[in-house]
Amino acid sequence: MLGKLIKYDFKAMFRSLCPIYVALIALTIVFSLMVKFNFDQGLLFSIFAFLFVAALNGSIIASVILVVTRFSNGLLKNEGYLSFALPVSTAKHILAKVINAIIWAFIEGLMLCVCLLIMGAVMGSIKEVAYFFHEVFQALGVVEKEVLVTVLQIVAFLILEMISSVCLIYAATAVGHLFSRNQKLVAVAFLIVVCVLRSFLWVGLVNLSERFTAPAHVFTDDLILIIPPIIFAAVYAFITWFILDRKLNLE
Amino acid sequence: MGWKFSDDTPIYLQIIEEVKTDIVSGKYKTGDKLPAVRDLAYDAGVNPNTVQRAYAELERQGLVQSERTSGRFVSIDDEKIEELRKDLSDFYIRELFRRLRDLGMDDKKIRDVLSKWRDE
Amino acid sequence: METLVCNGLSKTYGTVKALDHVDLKLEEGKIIGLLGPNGSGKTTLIKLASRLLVPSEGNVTICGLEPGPETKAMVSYLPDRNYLPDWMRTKDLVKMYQDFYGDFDVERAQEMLNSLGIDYDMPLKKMSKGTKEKVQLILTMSRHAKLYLLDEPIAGVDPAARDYILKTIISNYDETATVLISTHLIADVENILDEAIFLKEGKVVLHQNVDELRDTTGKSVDEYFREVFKC
Repeated sequence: MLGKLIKYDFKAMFRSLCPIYVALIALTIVFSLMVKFNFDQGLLFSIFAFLFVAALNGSIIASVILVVTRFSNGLLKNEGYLSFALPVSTAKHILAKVINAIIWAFIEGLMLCVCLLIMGAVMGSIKEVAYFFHEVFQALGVVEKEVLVTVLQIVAFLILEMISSVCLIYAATAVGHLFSRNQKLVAVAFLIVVCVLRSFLWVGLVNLSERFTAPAHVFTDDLILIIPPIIFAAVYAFITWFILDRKLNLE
Repeated sequence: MGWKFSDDTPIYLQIIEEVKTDIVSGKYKTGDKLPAVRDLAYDAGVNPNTVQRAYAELERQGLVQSERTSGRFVSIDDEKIEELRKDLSDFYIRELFRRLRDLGMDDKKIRDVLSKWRDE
Repeated sequence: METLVCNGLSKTYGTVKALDHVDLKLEEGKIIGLLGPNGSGKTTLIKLASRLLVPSEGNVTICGLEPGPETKAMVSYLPDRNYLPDWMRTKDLVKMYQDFYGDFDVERAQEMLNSLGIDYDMPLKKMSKGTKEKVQLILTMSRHAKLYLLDEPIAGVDPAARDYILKTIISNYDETATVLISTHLIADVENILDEAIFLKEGKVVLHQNVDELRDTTGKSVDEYFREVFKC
């Protein structure tokens, strides 16, 4: 069932994001060609440059907005009547929405890499791109194991932070749902309050860890770093689950 | 949708009435198969349980017989048809008299009106 | 065997009592009308049975189980609004129902859609209101469910579509299933009902066999309803 939920969310997202990604890639190609053939002046170029940057930013913003609206439209608007009638637990619905967010964050990242590759390949040459990657992997090979572990830790931390942010936005949307009016306002207020509280907590945590380790090591050898985002995500997910499971009241 | 029913009597009674009329008028003859419960329910636009109840009552009155697998059949002899016809016509006549009396006519007046109407 | 049982079922929104200590037992094989004016608690009762709401007090069970994923697999619910994503085409919707509900009968759905001449490639948003309602009903009635919860299935459609919808209900429910139809259009549905439930300000004021009701009152359900709910 979880897989099917993810499949239908993916289809709904793909429908809206696919045109944006097609436009992004097309603009990347046009922009790169213009630069390559020294067509880099004048109004036309400015327009394309502007469109290209807009598409880059737009695709990021659009995917964030769509992930959030997929949650609220799919579960808390009319479509909620369909979703909550399905033989699926509330927890699975929420998990599907979190996975949906991870999938699209990954796709977004991939698309940005693809754009960079296209630019590199068009402006320079494919050989140069290949050489670049060759160099990168060689560098990775000689990098000390410790540094690699740290990099992986930071990557893990960033991914977990992303998941925890997504859960926070879902929780905020769910809290907004508790109110019959000003739902968006309540959601934003909740978001701000939680962010402030969280930053206090982080400062506290860093202070705490400084007592036990030297400050410079906070970001290096503490696996402990990935624990707070996991706890935060769990708390947000629980809030979301509690509201959707016990306090659901679809309009 | 479907058949027209009057408001004041249960629908299964009205269905019984309808089937009886069809038997007396000769639309259904002995050995004829009655429509399946679901089909009649669909045509009449009523609940299948209502049709079921009407059929059960017709069976109890000995007008139809059910064969376990092949459905329900009209089973009636001429004598019984006559009896049924008399029952139904008695009912309609009673109803006619009731209504005309409601209009303030006495029995003599009703008889006069009836014979006059027949002559016309 | 009872399909749906309510014990002292209550739901309060803030200070408003939408449903007030409702006790009900709905048996299998019956088509039951949930009748009441707007705001009498019909939709609330249906939402509680499909676990779109959690009771404030009391409980509701479906085939002996508290509402949850397990009961949702046995309940076919038609909400009182357009609940399907409007960009989806008929064929996507059929596929989706087939994907999510093990009791969905594709052949039955296709037969009904074909007899109406519905275009499988047309997205919902391009359909007329009547067609949309019919497609939603066909999907709902194509499941072999234990309990059908139909919330206002005939409101806002023309008389021809109304006939079609009612006939679809009669010819598709299984004999071991229960159909609960909420509506305020009583004259239209009363011929297909076994039982009628009158809901007034969140309370059950009548739950009776329709034939008995006609027998004892000498009135149609519609007439009797007008009497009970006279303003």
